[in-house]
Amino acid sequence: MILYYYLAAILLTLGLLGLLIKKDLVSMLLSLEVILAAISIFYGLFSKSVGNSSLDPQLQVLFIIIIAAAEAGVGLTLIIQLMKKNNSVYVCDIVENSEP
Amino acid sequence: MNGPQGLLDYLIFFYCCFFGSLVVLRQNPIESAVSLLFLFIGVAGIYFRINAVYLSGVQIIVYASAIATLFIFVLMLLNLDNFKKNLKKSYSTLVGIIIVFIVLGMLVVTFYENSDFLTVDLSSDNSFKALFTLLFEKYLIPFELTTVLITGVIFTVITLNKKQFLQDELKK
Repeated sequence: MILYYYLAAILLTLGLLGLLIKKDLVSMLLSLEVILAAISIFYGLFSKSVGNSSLDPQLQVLFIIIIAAAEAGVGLTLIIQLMKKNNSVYVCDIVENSEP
Repeated sequence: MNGPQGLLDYLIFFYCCFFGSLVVLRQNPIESAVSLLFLFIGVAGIYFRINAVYLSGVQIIVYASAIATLFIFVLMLLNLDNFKKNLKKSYSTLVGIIIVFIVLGMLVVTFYENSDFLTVDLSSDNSFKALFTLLFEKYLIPFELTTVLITGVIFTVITLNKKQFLQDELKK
């Protein structure tokens, strides 16, 4: 089942790629969620691996899910407020409109 | 691993890769969010496959049903259009892409070299009782702290929205 570890690596890479190549905040937040999903897959698999027979990583996945929920709530609120203020969700527009 | 189980592994692998790449490569954020929902369902499938049934349930109920659906609803309410200039095209992006692929290579090589250590043991302890005993004994303080975190998030969200609401009212 080493295949799933490769999947976690690929998803982590895709998330990082999304953070780098996307211009709007919404897609960047979605890419962050992909990274969190990749990390939770890794933790979930690690709880069942031969070298580590404990349930701790499964609980850590639970905490990752809680933090992801909190991050999604705050992130979406901030995006809505920025959207109202600048009328755009693009990072370049928001930086241009921001006061020094 | 061979047989139907091995086929299922490959199926989940390609399913997750497909929807993961759609999240990143689609121009429209609503399409990306829907792909993210399907990706979460695939991740729940992985947990189910490795016998982490509780995580699989939480992934479906909390992550896919609540968080991903929240994303989709909020994006629909934002009424976003014109996403033609969504992808960056610059020199720094190219450098970033190269670095990201180096990271992928490093991770794959690390996993390949430690594959004996990382092989999944499906017969390991899986009882809910053991999981929750650990949660309410060893992880009790972090678990309680998450309630503080969630309360803080609720206050933050209300304050941010209220502030904007008051500013709008004052302008009128």
